[in-house]
Amino acid sequence: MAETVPLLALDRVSAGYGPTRVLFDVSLEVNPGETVTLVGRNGAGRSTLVKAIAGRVARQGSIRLSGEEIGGLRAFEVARRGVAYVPENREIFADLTVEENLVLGAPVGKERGAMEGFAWSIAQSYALFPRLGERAKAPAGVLSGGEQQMLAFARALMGCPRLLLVDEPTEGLSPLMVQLIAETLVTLRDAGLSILLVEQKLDIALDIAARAYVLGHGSIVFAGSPSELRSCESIRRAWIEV
Amino acid sequence: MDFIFPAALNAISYGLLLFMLAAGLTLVFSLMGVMNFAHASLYMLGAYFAYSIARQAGFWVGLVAAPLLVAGLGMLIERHVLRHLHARGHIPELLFTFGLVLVIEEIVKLVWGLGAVDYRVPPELRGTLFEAFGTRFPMHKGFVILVALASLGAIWWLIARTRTGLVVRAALANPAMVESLGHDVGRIFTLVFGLGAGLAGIAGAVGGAVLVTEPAMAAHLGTIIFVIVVVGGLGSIKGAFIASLLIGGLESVLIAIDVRLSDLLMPLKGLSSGLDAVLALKASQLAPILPYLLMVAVLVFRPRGLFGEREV
Ligand SMILES: Nc1ncnc2c1ncn2[C@@H]1O[C@H](COP(=O)(O)OP(=O)(O)OP(=O)(O)O)[C@@H](O)[C@H]1O
Ligand SMILES: [Mg+2]
Repeated sequence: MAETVPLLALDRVSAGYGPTRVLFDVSLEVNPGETVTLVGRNGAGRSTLVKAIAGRVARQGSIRLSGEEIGGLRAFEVARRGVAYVPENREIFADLTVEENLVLGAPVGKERGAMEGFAWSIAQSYALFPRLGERAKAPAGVLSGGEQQMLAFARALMGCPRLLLVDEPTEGLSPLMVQLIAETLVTLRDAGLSILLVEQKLDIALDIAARAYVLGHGSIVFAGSPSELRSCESIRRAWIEV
Repeated sequence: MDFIFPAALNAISYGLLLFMLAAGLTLVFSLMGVMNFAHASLYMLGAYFAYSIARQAGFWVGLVAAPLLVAGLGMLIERHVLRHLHARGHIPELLFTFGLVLVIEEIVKLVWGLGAVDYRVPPELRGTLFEAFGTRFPMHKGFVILVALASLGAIWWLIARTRTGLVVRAALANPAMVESLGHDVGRIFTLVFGLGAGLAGIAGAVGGAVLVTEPAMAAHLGTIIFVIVVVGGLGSIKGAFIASLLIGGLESVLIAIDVRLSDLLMPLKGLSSGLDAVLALKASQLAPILPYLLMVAVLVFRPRGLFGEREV
């Protein structure tokens, strides 16, 4: 079998804020169509890693998207190459309507660039999340936490991404909403989208993902399949469970 | 009370001119977090550019071309200087715009001389628009209102109704997220700075012709605009609008009534010679300092300004 080029490949990536280093020589891969989860304790640097990929923080080392180096690009250039970002606190535009939030997610004309990902539209957003359709003209700020999370997903998909970065989508949501978000992730995975998922709830993360990385103090301390991680109690004790 | 009607029209005319400046300043401040001290200097450049172009090609060409030049200059300044300073925090940006005020003033004096230049509205705008209550309302004031409403309307439409405006509104709230959706926020900053500069340029091309075009005009209007954004509340367009009309109104009304304070405050007369000196002032002589009194009053009772969200 010919070796496939990974969709996303990090090679010894370091990042931090100002003089503080948070990530140390992180290497990981996401293959086309694959869902990979990144777990670890609070403060391990998971969000920082996702931000480094999205171009939101200064980083060193190599980040390749389908072989193309994107590690030096600015955030909007990374986005235009098909990397969509669902941030940890959703970051929806509260004063704008639901629909305006979605429109913002869809780059037009020149902005679209070389994007050839997951085709997506406002109509599909409303089909996936009927609740958003019902609230289309409402200011996004009045939505519930779960609805705002749906909006953050739909807005990211509007960019027709090749890779979806998702940071703690279930944080602070009701059990029912957590389940709905998990189902959404499965739907997107089964539709062939590549996903890098940061998720605190280990069971959900390992159910959805095909592979898992564990981040501890800014370094990768485990890489393997979900079943390996499930059976490896020492890793879970040392780096995940609190 | 027949002074009220013309005074109100004067107030609207002057207030809208002020708002053209205050709106641009507020927009730039909201987006970039930097108070552009040189904003009124761009107003002055608009007037001088329009004057020079008008001498070659006529008033109407100047009215269109000067604001475009000022907008272009603003975009160059943002793109090549402010953007680089932005990474180092606000102080270098403030110092730069402050220095720009001095540089532009000196350049204006070098190129156009120390005195006022003869920049006036063309003959077709010199007549009387209408007469009411025994006062004539001059055409050029109506013209100021028209130009202000048209340009402010155009900006409003751009921001509220277009997709680019949507990106601007989102960037006001969270530029980093806008960038993560694939929008070049740097370009949006340049565009907004250009819009603000262009608006100042229009105000200059019009205001220079109906008021005065001289090297001191930037300093004079700059302080008034500063008072307006502080009184209205930093970053609030609504506040800037109301404060513009308020200050435009105050000055117009004071000039129109033009009574001695002593007539209003008769009972206080003779209490002290210092007070008598103040009472002998005419209201119109008070007009120039009134904005500052208003600013102090507002800051005492409401430190964040009328509609502001943060304290100054
Ligand atoms: N903007 C920032 N400036 C400075 N330090 C930061 C910043 N954001 C995060 N950090 C620090 O970087 C470290 C890693 O933070 P990060 O957000 O990546 O953690 P995390 O694994 O996502 O955990 P959690 O989401 O639970 O906070 C923490 O020590 C945090 O204090
Ligand atoms: Mg995090």
